[in-house]
Amino acid sequence: MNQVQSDLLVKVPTGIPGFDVFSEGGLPEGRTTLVSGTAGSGKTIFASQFLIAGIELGQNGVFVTFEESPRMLRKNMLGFGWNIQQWEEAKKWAFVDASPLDVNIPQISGEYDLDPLISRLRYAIEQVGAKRVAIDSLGTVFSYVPDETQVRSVLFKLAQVLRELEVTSVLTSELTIEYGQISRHGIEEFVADNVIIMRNALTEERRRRTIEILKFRGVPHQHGEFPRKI
Amino acid sequence: MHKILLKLYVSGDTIRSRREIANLQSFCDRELPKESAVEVIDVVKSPEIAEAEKILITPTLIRELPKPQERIIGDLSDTEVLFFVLDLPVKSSEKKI
Repeated sequence: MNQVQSDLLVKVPTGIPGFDVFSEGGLPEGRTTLVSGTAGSGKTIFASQFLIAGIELGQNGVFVTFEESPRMLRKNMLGFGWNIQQWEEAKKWAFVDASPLDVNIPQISGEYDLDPLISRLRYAIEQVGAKRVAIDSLGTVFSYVPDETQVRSVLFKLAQVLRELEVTSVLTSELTIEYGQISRHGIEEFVADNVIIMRNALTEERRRRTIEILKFRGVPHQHGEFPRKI
Repeated sequence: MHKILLKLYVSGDTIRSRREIANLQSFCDRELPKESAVEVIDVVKSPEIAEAEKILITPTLIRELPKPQERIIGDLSDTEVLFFVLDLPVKSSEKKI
């Protein structure tokens, strides 16, 4: 088999029922995938399941959480029968806790950056020898920095670390409408090799959850929306 | 026991970090009582401390003492914010002749 062909074929399973079938094996290994969807479309569960499927295959994971606290996530996932704490103790799972602080809002004096996010991510990946990373959700990063130039700088550094450490990653991003722009800021997709859209459309008084592969860079994939269940 | 305890988190030994440390140092020398203490933590060298303290932004200055904890983010170029957060009389330096 030649090199080009073998590069095309390597995908890692996500553990999401149906998705691994129609994506012909899961997500491209060592790449970054943007999972974009509206509130309630199941992005956090997608991100969690992706890490859990990895652990089951002996690939450890890091979960960077910007919205829910690790405590809430442990509790929510326990509801699905997943014991995250047990994996944390076994050094198979690590959190980077970027959820909001319950202290006073900080005062601002001059310029600042988000470099600690990169240092903490690198540290967590090295701690558990992670092969998979989930970041939920990317959009929240932008509320911390004042302008688009800084957002680009953070995204660039983030993409660099993920590539350098050769992890397969999932970045979630919030959509405000089901059909339209694929990310809130219109720049998230530049860091991602692949884009997946999750929808939670209301048609004929029913919720119809679908998932679509919009782009897999350099990899053949199926087109169209596929129905799914959580 | 320190009356005031400050912790400054920076990212790496860069020109920028040095400027931030210098900004804080000169402010402390000028404005703070002797029993104050300042600790500098480099997030690149000690990411585990950044994780434990949930530091997402550099520079972050935390007033650990007196309680309650207060946070300032930014390079501390605006000293009025420091006066405010540390509860110091504003422009005390100008009283010296």
